Amino acid sequence: MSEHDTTPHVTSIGAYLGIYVVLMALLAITVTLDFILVGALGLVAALGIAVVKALLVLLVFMHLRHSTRLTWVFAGSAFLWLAIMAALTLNDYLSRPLGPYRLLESDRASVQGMYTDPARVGATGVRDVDQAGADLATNDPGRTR
Amino acid sequence: MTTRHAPTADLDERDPSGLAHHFQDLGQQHEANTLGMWAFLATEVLFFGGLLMAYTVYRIWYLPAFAEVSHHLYLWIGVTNTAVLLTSSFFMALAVHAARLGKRRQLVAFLILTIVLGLAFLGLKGIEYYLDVGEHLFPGRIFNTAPWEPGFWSVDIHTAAGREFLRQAELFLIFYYILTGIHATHMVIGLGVLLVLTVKAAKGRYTATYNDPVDIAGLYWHFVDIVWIFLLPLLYMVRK
Repeated sequence: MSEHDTTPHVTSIGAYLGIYVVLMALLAITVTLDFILVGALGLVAALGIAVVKALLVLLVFMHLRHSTRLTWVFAGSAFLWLAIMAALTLNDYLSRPLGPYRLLESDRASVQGMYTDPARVGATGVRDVDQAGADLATNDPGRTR
Repeated sequence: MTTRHAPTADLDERDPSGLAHHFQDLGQQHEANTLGMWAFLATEVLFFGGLLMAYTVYRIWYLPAFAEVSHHLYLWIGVTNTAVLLTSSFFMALAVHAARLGKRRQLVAFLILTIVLGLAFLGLKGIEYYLDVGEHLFPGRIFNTAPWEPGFWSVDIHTAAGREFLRQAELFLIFYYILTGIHATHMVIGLGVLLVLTVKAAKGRYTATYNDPVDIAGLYWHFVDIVWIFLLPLLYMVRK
């Protein structure tokens, strides 16, 4: 066997058909669950099924199953970097008060003072930070972890 | 010392086997082609990944508004389009299968079926955009000057909080159009590639030993399918 004997593996049509049927069934399950599950559970279920569908397409339709190790490294690197981006980004955003304008209770007094300082009001146009915060909070998820 | 070959006039000139002059054999050529496509797809994963990361952060912040606009999208068109695209991917897999077996007529037939379903996806997507815009669900002036029916939104849009809610809803629509629009652009590019492949396949340019272009185009087409697999739950199924 030569170093470059990478004659493509030929998957049977039956295997493709089977995967196709499974993919369509998973789509049906996704839609059904969307009407049953709510909240975080629904999101986890929908994304979990999407990951399974993506893996089936990657492994069978895109022939990763029978690809060289080097191809696995190339394909895997994409998802490794994606995971790094997601982990570091969410580590930041989920570990502080949610929402772009939410104030920590402890900061509220000092910020209120800053805004009522006549010298600063002209620059920001915001006179009542509590009112501005309350307007936003009405539609804020309101979960401060 | 190895002999140096004079450069040919046409750099893409291949011998009848389909082997390009800078490769040793077809196996090496196939491996290089496959790796090249996967390297490109890795950049694509991070391209869509960056957009979806931004979407995720705003979705966490603005979940109530995002969930409400998501409900106004046409779920049934999104689901139908998923089925259409999965079927298209299935035919693409069969096209690659036929190419590897050197079956020319089958290859052309499956490529055409793949293209037809790809066009069906874009057609449905176009109808969906048309319906969305008709309901003022398009960011910018169309959204901001819309005469919303009472009860269309769950909040009173005439309060400061209501205006903030609409601003957040509009942001969801910006993500919706950019994500689906870029996905559709990928589909258009893919359809162009498939069209060229169909013509070349009909001329008998691909054989059982040389069919890398079909293989590589297949990888791209399946990737575009995978992107949509994630867009469906993320855009159409936002629930509180």
